[in-house]
Amino acid sequence: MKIALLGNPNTGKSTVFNLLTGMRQHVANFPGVTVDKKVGKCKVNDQEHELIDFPGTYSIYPRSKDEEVVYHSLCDTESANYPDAAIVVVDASNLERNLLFFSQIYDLQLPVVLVLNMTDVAKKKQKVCRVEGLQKVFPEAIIVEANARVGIGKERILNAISMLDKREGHRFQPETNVAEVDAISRQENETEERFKRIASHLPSIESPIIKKDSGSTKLDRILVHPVWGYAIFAVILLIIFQFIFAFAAIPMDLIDGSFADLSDWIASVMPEGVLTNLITQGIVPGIGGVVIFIPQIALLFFFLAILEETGYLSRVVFIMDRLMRPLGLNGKSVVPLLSSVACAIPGIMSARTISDWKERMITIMVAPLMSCSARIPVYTLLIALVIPNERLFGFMNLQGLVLFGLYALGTLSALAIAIILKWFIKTKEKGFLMLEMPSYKVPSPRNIVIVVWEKVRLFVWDAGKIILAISIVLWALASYGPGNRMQEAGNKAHRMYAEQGYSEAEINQHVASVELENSYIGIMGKTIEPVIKPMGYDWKIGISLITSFAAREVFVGSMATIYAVQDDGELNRPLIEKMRAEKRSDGTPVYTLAAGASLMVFYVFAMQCMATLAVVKRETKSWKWPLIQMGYMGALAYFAAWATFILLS
Amino acid sequence: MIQKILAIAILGVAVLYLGKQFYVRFFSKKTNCDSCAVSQIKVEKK
Repeated sequence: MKIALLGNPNTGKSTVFNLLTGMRQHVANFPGVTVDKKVGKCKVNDQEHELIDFPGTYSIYPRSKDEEVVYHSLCDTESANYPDAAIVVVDASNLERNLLFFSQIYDLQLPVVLVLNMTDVAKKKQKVCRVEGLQKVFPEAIIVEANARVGIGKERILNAISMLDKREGHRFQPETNVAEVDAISRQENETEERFKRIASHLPSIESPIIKKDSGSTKLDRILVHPVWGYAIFAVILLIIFQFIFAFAAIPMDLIDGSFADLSDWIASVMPEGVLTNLITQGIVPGIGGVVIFIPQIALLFFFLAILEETGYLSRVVFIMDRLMRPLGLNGKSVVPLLSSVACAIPGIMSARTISDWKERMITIMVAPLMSCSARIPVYTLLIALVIPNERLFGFMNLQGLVLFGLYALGTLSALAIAIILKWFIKTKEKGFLMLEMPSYKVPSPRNIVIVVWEKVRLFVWDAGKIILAISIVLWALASYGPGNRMQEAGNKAHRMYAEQGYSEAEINQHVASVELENSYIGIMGKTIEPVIKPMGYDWKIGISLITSFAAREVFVGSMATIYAVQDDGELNRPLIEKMRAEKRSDGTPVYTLAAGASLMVFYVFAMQCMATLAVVKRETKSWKWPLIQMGYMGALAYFAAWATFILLS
Repeated sequence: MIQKILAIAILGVAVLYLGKQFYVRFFSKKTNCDSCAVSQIKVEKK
């Protein structure tokens, strides 16, 4: 049986989906997290059913692309996604609003289960839902109570699925057929009638609301305050970045040292040869470049998950909306932009909630400017390299403050570019954000662990495979050159440094460096060097800029591979030490404050993500928009990085 | 010799993997894209 999982946004549909299927679909307490349908399997009495998690919608009549998915699937019986039955998840603490959509689904005559979710929140609000009363109004629905967030109700829902049967034809609003109401004015009238009818039934299905100032309301007076709200949010972010630097340092050093030792050990146990070089100079440094950033990625998502779980992130969405509206931006752009802090891909996809095409395009075009988690490895490596580990005012870590600054720069530039784009792309419609504030909750450790685990797994597995493959290719390009060029250059350097009285170890270092310059990658790097020189970069950085077009975090793996080949196994040092010791031909260090800051600024703006470009192409169904995006972000990155280098030099 | 063969094989797998990723992301038609942001979803009214 194909079962549609439906409901208003933020009622816990995805939590119910995860509960029934055992999957780990991302859940959050603000709308726009599920913008496409997701399919899972659930077993009831040895019978397997297909469960489809649809985007949340307030009404069956669509107002945006994500809502069209629901309308199209439910009202077109010929659709491949037309379900055999439906499970509608409603927020028990807000029945009046939720029953509108449920009553529409009920009237489609699909066998239906009504899940009264979030019963704990309803109890806190002193609301009592009278199931018998509800059953009288919807006699052909199977009604169950649940609290999916803490795992209560799974058996009841599965039992209800096993009881699903053909309907006998009862309708809540028999005068109209929701699948046939197509004109917007008719849809509005139908909705109004439906609301009136629900209101007339309310006294029999829920206890009267006792309105009083809850703890959440009191807390909201401070957290969404027009002044204090922003100040508190800034302080929270600052604390998170401070923690990321303070706590991640120890495990990072451990991992870095372990991979250097691993390379050393492999080199000592394996016979000399090409494969040994590939493993010790390509594969191990490449994997190390991924694994080393697990502590930071885990910490970032740990804090984000806490903010989301407590309900605070919804308040952030609210205050950001208030900030963006005076700038003429669509209220619904807030969720895509905030989602892009984790990753631009779900951010761009959640732009589907924006009904106006032009507004949606502006949001898609600026979303990658928000600093995503893939930038964390690059930022932290460069910050540790050029920013001193000092304290400001005795308590604030300077490195954490710079990380905060880079995030702020990304956010402000996204807003500024959006305003500029509005001059060129005129919009007709003013979108608005409909947001229901969830009450504050104690975070569920299980949900936090799931979020952190999933994000780390995705980072290591998805990004890791690409980083590893690029590291292997880079190693080959760095280890070989055209004809005898590498060998001849190496011999010449050997003679020259030997004549100057250098030690054998120093000679080997210089020879490896000269050979690298004459390898395929060295020749490529030297060719592009004039273009990147104004920004303060050498050819090795240039090569890593090119490879990190695949994904930003590839930068670190590429640097690790290039420096591992250059070191030729002579010095067993962590990457950061190798980079710190890197000198230009005139003896000055490559990674000065100016060059490091310029590189950080470059990564704030540059569109270094193949996957994001692919999603923009998919979402816009055209090559035009991803190419424009890559062009404007590339130009912005180049000139901002150049200006930074000039200013700090 | 064995080391060389294995290294070439690993390099070949890496190149193929990168090529496949590029093709799948940009050119493959087998992507889950039935609700794109810009595509118009045609709903046939009954």
